[in-house]
Formats: sequence, structure tokens, C-alpha cells
Amino acid sequence: MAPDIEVDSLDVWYGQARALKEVTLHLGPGRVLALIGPSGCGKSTFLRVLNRMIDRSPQVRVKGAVRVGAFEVLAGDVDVTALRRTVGMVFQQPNPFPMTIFDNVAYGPRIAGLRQMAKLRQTVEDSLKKAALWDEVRGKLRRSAMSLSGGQQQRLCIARALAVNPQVLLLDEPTASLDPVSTAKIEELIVQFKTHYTMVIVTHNLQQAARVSDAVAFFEHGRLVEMGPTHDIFTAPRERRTEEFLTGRFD
Amino acid sequence: MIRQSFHQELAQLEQELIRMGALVEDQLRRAVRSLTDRNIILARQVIEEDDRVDAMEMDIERRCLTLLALQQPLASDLRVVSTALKIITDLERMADHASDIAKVTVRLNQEPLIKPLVDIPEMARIASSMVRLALNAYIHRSIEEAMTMIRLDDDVDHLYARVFRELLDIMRTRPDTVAQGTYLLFVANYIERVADHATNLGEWVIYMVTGQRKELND
Amino acid sequence: MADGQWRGARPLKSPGQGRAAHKILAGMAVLAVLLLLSVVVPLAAQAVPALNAAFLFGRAPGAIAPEAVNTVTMVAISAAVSFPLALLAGLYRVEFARPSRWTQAFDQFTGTMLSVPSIVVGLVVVDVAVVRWHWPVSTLTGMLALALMNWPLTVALVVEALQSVPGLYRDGSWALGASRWQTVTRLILPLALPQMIEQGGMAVARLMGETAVLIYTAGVNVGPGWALGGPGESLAVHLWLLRTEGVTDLASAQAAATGVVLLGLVFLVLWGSRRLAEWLQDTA
Repeated sequence: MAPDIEVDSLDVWYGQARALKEVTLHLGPGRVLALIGPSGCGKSTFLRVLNRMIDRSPQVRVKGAVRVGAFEVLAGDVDVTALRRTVGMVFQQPNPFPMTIFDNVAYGPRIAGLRQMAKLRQTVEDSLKKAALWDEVRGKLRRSAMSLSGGQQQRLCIARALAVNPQVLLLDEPTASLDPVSTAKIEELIVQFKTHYTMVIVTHNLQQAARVSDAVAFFEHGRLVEMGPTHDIFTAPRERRTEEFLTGRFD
Repeated sequence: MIRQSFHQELAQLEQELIRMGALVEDQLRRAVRSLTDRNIILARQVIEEDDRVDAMEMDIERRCLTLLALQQPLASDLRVVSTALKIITDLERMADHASDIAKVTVRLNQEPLIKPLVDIPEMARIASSMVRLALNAYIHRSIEEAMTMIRLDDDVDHLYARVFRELLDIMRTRPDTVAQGTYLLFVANYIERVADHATNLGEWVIYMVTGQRKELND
Repeated sequence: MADGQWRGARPLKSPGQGRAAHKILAGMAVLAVLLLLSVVVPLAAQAVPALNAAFLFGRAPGAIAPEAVNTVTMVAISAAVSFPLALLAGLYRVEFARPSRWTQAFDQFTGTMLSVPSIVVGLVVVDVAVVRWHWPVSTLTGMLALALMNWPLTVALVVEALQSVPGLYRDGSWALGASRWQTVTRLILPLALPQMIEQGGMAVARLMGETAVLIYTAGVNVGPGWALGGPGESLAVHLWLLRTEGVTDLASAQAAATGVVLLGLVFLVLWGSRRLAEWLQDTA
């Protein structure tokens, strides 16, 4: 069952610079939230808090409460490994590991301790099917992942994330480097994944946000300016800044 | 201001829309005047002008579709374009009614009227001023003006009911007036329809400004 | 498309401005090869009179087999000791330490050590190992000096190899719930190892040619058999000795022959490490 996400007064600093300011929002289970806003508005930071990838950033400090299903994400005693298995992530640049297609998808389960070849095979096949890549790579699982096209690589990364049975997917501009056809395939996946996974997607493509999301959150200067149903935000936003951003009257 | 050329195109679209609205309003006034003045030449002009309105509708529609396809407008821009698409349909229907009224003028030719026209010109005056007010509301992005305008529809409806009763009474007592009486009933009905379309304009203006769709015409 | 339409097609010539640069660079490459040959060919020619089985493998005085054994063992053992240590240090530096004043100091220290002349390292080793600890001038002391000399370079090449693995891979691994240690052992090391081995080969080759530091620490003569505590003259030192103090008629030919053997060993190390790296890369 897909979990809900609840964020309460989240603050994030990088050193002295405040990247997020009192962000509060709630996302229902199985819903797709699109984060939009100008570059450097904090949307990627927000995404990286949800699976604690933010820990990597030097001098980062966080305040507030973030709950993903049963996980108190910011609690000191949270099991980060379990959290990251539950909250999968797909990155802007397709980043398959330079190994075979099979080993890429099997990487997560192996890390988690799965050794039986039969089960691994099954997991790999299931994940590739879910990511709509199976038909293209069936019988070629021993080939290098680097031999795939950019769009296939990104779907491989989605399959890799799915292989550890996540309930939430974080997508950080997943189609930024892809051609329109590959982009459409990824968007179609996201739409199909609805209700099975709770998803948060960062995108600079407003039409993409309109096509795939149920809700939209507009960030500016680290603040959540407005969040609402996708239809409402794109036809009649409540806030002037959202309006200006969407209509290109933004400076 | 980033999408400058796009917003210039939007402004042009609005200009075209206002020009079309003004033409339709003019058509309406002239159609009713052709009837009261028994001016067949004027009536024929109105009927011919209808093609111009149709051409304008097509042109604006094409502009809107181009903007939707190429610029993919959002938020208020999206509402401006979609409102324009709806408004031109209403305007085109109004122009059709004006043309219908002019056709009645032609049909009646110089036949003497069964009664002096008082309420019908009054209805037409209110209806065409509704169109003008709606266009003003559109230009000013004013909900208040749109609401005020929509309230005038009640007056038109009252007058229409009165004209309807009067004409019915005349036709009941003098069967020879049925042919002309029916034509005049049509005219009253056309004007009432025009007022309804004008009400739609007001509703679209309100949607364009607020993003809320309200049905005010019952 | 009609058959034979390609007949009208012609290859595009590269624009003129590119060709001049191309010629200059090609010329420089040829020059470099010629320079190398101008060293190797006369050396080999000079070595011919001394290149025989007795000189290479014999046990008579003047044969270079003991020097060859000394060279290989000293270099191999010192590298075998310093590489794992450097690997641990490099791993800690790149994969585990958070950027801080300590990591800055670490980088500065290894950077400085890289530019310390080897002879200074030799002097320090003599001062500490020979004078204070009373180690003999021997194979062991030579190894210590070589290991110490090699250490910063090895750390630097380990760090560089690890840093050449894109951070995107680490992100991908961590996002799947892998720990740092798992990420390093399952993903990063297999990717970085080929580069480490190839560059490690170069570092080893450099050690084989090292003389200055070994003159004080390993000595300029050989014992009757190989011993950790015995004198450990290397090929390069032997060569130097023959050229500067050789008195026999064959001295210069022997020096050249020693050089040829040393060159052969160096090529062998470079070639071997390269092949190993390629093999690892293919199986990864």
C-alpha cells in the first residue's frame, strides 16, 4: 500500500544559506505531486529530504518534521537503509552502473542480501516488465547497460529502483536529458504507476507536470508558495506569483 | 516579462475580439432599426454583413487554436484564450439573430404594422447595451460590471413576457394578424436569445477573471 | 533511390586550418619515437658484447642476476606493502571523510610529499633507520625507503582513480539503500581498480629506475645470496656504479647490458599491469 507524505515546517540550511523555509504540505497515498518553480527554488532539496539523500550535502542542517508512511524521516534513529528502500529515486541523468543490465537491476536486491539466483532472476524480470523495458532487453540481460539508449537507460534506472519494492518514487527531472518519445514513455509509466506508488516529481516542463500529476506545488526562494490540485493550479492559481510564473510574467 | 511576443499576440487576440463584439452590437442595433424604420436596404446590409462576422469568428478561432498549440498557455493566459473561443461562439449566434431580425424586415416589406413597436425596440436597446457592457467588462476585467450587466437580462425577460401576451391577445381577436404577429413574436424571441448570449458573455468574463464557472442565467 | 547515385558523391576534405595543426602534431609524435629509438638502439648495440648467459644468469662476480633479483624483490615487496595502505588511506579520504580542515591538510601533505626529492627521503631513512635503529644498509632498508618514497604517489593515484568514478553512481547506489561500505566494495572499487593498477604499474616502473635513495639505504654491492638484512644493490644502482667506477674493458658494455635488462623489466611491468587492468575492466 502506498504511503502518504506529511511535511511540517521543514527548514533546510546549507551553511548560512537557507534552502527551504517552513514548508508544510500533505500528499495523499498513491498521488503524484509535481514540484515546479524557478531554478534554485528548493524543489530538488525538498525531494532529497524525503529519502535523506540530503545527508550527502556538506554542512546541511534540517528542522521540522517529515513523515513518509510510518517513517519519521528526520528522526535520529530512523533506519536510513530501510527508508531508502521504501523511497526509491530516479535521477536527472540516467545513471545505470557500468555493468550488465541484469546486474544493474539485481544490485539493490543483492545489497539487501538476496542471493538465490532463481529469485533474483524473477525480481529482475518483474522489475523490467514494470518499467516497460522487458520486451526490449529480453535475452540481452548480459549486455552492458551502457549499450542502451538514453531513454532505455532511464527506464533501466526505474526498474533498478523498483527491484527493491519501494512504495514511494522520487523523480528528479527524469526526462530532462531525453528525447520526446523517450519522455512520453516515462510519462506513461508515471501515469500507470499512480495509486501503486506515491510519487514526487521535480520538473521544469510545466506541460509534463500538467500531464502526469494530481497535485502541483510551486516553490520560490525556498518557500512553498502554493499547492493545489493540478487542474486548479494550471487554470486558476490562487497566488499572484504562481500566476506570474505560469504565464511567463516572471522576473 | 519573459514571453513578450506571446503576450503581444494575446493582446492582439483581445483587440480582434472587441472589434467583433462591436460589429455584432452594431448589427443588432441596425437590424432592429431596419424593422422600426421599415428600411429594407438597411436590412439587406445587415444580412450581408453577417458574412463578415462569420469570417471574424473563423479568424479568431484560428488564432486561439494556434496559440493553444504553439504557446500552450497556462493559468490566466489559458483562461483568456479559452474564454475567447467561447465568446466568439456566443457573438456569432447573436449576429445570426440580428440577421434573422433583418430577414423579418425584408419579409414584412411595406405591410402596415398591426401595432406600434414600443416594447420590442426597448428590449433591443437593453440587449445591445448588455453586449456593450459585457465587452466593457471584458476589457476592464471587471466582475462587478459583468454582474450588473447580467442583471439586465431580467428586464429583457419581463418585456419579452409582456410582448408575448400582447401579441397573443391581438392575434386571438384578429386572425388576419396571425402571420405578422408570429413574425414579431420571432423577433421578440430573437432579442431575448441575444440577451441570453450576452449573459453568457458576462459569465465567461467572470470565469476569465476568477477561474470560477458560475451559471447565472436560469 | 536510383542505383549508382552515390557515384556522384565525394568525401568531404577537412578544412585547411585543421590540416596544419594535424601535421605539426604528427611530426612531434614521430620526433618523440625517434628520440626514444635514438636512446634504445645505441644502448642495445653497445650492450651486445656483454649480453650473454654468463652475464645475465651466471654466478660469477660481475654477473647481474643478484642485482635483478634485488630489484624485483625490493620493488615488489615495498609496493605490496605500500599499495594496500595507500588504498585504505585513499578510500577513507574519498569515500568516507567529509570535507573538512583535516581532509584539506591530508591533501596538502600528500601533495607536498609528492614533490619531495627522493634523495631527501633516502637521507631521512638513513638518519632514522640506519643511524638510530642500527638497521644495516640492506635490502630491508632499501624497501623501507622505496615504500616511503612511493607512498604519496600511490595515495595520489588511488585518490585520483576513486574520484574518476562519477558521483552519480554513488548517488544511485545510496538511493537503493546501500551503505558507504557496500557502495565502495561492490561498485566503486571494481570500477576504480583497473585505473589504479595501470597507474600503479607506472609507479612501480619508476621505483625500478630509482638510484639515489638506494645508494645510501640498500648499498652498492651484493651478498652471496639474497637476504633481507644483506646488501641489496639494484640494477639501476649497479648501472650507475659501472658507469662511474667501472675499470674493466667491458664496463661500458656491461653498463649498457644492465640498462637493457632494466628497460626490459620496466616494459614488462608496464605491459603486465596494462593487460591486468584491461582484463579487469572486461570482466567487470
